Amino acid sequence: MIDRRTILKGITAIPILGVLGAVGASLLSFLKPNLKPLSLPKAEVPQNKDLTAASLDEFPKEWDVKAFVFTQITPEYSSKGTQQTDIPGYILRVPNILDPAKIGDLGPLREGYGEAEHKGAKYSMVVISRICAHLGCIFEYHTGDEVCTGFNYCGESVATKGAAGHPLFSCPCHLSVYNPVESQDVSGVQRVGKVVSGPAPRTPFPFRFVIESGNVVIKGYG
Amino acid sequence: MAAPTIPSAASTKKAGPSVGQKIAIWWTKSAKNLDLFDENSKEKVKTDPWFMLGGMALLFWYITIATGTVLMFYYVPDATGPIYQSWLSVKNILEGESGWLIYMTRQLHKYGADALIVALTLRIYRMYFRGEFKSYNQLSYIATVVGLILAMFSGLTGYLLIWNQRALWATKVFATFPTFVDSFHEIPTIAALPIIPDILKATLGVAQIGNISANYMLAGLSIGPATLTRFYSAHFMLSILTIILVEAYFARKGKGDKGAGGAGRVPRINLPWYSVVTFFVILVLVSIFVPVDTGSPANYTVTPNPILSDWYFLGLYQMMKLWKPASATLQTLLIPLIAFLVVFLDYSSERNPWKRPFWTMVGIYGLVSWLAFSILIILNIADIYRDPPYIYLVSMIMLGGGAIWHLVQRARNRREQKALEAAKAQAAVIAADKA
Repeated sequence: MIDRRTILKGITAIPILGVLGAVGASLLSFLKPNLKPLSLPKAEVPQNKDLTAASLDEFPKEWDVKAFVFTQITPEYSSKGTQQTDIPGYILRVPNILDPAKIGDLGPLREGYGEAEHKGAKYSMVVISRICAHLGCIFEYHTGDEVCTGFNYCGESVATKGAAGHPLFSCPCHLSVYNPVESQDVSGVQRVGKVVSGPAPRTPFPFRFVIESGNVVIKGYG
Repeated sequence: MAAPTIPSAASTKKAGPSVGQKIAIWWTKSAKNLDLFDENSKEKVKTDPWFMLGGMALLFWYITIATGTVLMFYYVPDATGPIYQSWLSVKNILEGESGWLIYMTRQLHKYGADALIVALTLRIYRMYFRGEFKSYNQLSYIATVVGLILAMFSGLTGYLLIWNQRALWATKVFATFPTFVDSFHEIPTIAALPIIPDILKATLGVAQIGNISANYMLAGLSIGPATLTRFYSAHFMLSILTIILVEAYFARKGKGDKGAGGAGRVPRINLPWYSVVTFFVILVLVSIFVPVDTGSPANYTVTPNPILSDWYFLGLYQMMKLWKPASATLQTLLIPLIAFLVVFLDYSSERNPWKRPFWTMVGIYGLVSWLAFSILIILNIADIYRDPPYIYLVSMIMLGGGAIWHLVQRARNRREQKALEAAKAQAAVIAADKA
């Protein structure tokens, strides 16, 4: 036999359960799965505009570098319906690969790499994101010697390679080092920025870019 | 008096309770012994200062909650650039623009929280080394470990609110490391095993729990204003929900009048009044003489070099440098799991730490590695090619040596026990002869 107390308790439980259910349900909606990084479905394709990040005239010498910030706009459950993400990147002029006598065999560079003729000179450009593939810190552009003293990697220092040594990308958080003129297989695609030291599991993501009338134009990320 | 009845064959058959019953017994007894802030040690606290740790933890927690409530009135949770109001409001508080009292409130909030974490950590170690978790006290130990984890989460969510460089990059690292849960099957040691990597790949790799939880924490794909809002509410929620549970626990524990067999009112902060005053004065002095730095405002495009997290995460931060991310993530998740499991694995009733040396060494090993890693990262020493062999060596010596010592000690314990029994038997024979 159900007594009065149980019934009253049961009635008070209804609004409490209702509130808990409402809060819980709205919390669950946040658990929307984040699909595989950068393999977004049609409805979630980034809506960013092209960015003219640099002119080739800004890179008179090999190993000249320029930092830029690309704003990626993705659909997101927010008041604006989108989320803006600032992705810092580097544009780097590297030695021309077609001249192996000068820099040695660099292997096939694919994503994040482009070549163009400009004012009678040949430009080989690497454009990759500065977000470390390890835990997402922003990496820096350091000379081979700086990397040797601070980041455990002496492969490109003056002591090891002499004049052939060159700068590298190195991350201050957990000491990952990337070589901008070597490529690495990432899920079947060759990408520039091979991990030469540290805990990073893969190369940084490349930008999709074209070189139009002497300008580096960023089309997208990933 | 009637002689005890000899158990019949039928009753000896069902000797010992079933596993379910054992768990039920464990739960009932542990829940009865539950001791969150050393409130059960009313007498011990007068003679043994180590038992002040529970009271201290609650005292500092109350201070942190009270000061936090005041700070809410002055903090602006706005991370929309280019000028971050959240960073600016904290800077204003720390530069005394809201008055000295608010400045002190902020200082007390920070150092109170740090003191809470110190007190909880020391209490965990006290319970561990003294074997206080034995004989149905595991739940008190586990509750303290859970408390420490929640306190660390509060610290993490709290320091993003300042919106400075350290906060941004520490949060970035913290929110990214779970994504490697999805690639546990790629850890070389696991990949070499049969079947297990396939199972992991089909479960964790497909479910994307790591990515989902990172997304859940950040409220999107990266840190932004939405993350700040989420961390701000989580920062309250952690303390508010937990303090409600703790107050409910005290209210339940203090049920019934003392004369009528109930516990009577249970004192919450189990400290003599002069200790409360002393600890509070120390906290105030630290707050006056050690000003907190606001740091430079968050910048998405520059990670400062070197960059450090809050002090209690430094050891983990160093570990992330030395190991590949998936195995570093696995180890980070294993640490609390091991902390929970040790109290069940060390099932003997022996409380003396030197009579169960392996478990003592596990505790010392944890403490030493945390301290060593923290010191190394502060000194900015990390050679990822030179260091790992030394770390393996120290681990092997401490844990392996502890295991050997444990076996030797157990054999010695057994020998002593046998000798004691033999002596007893002999004494009994002599006594019988005399009679």
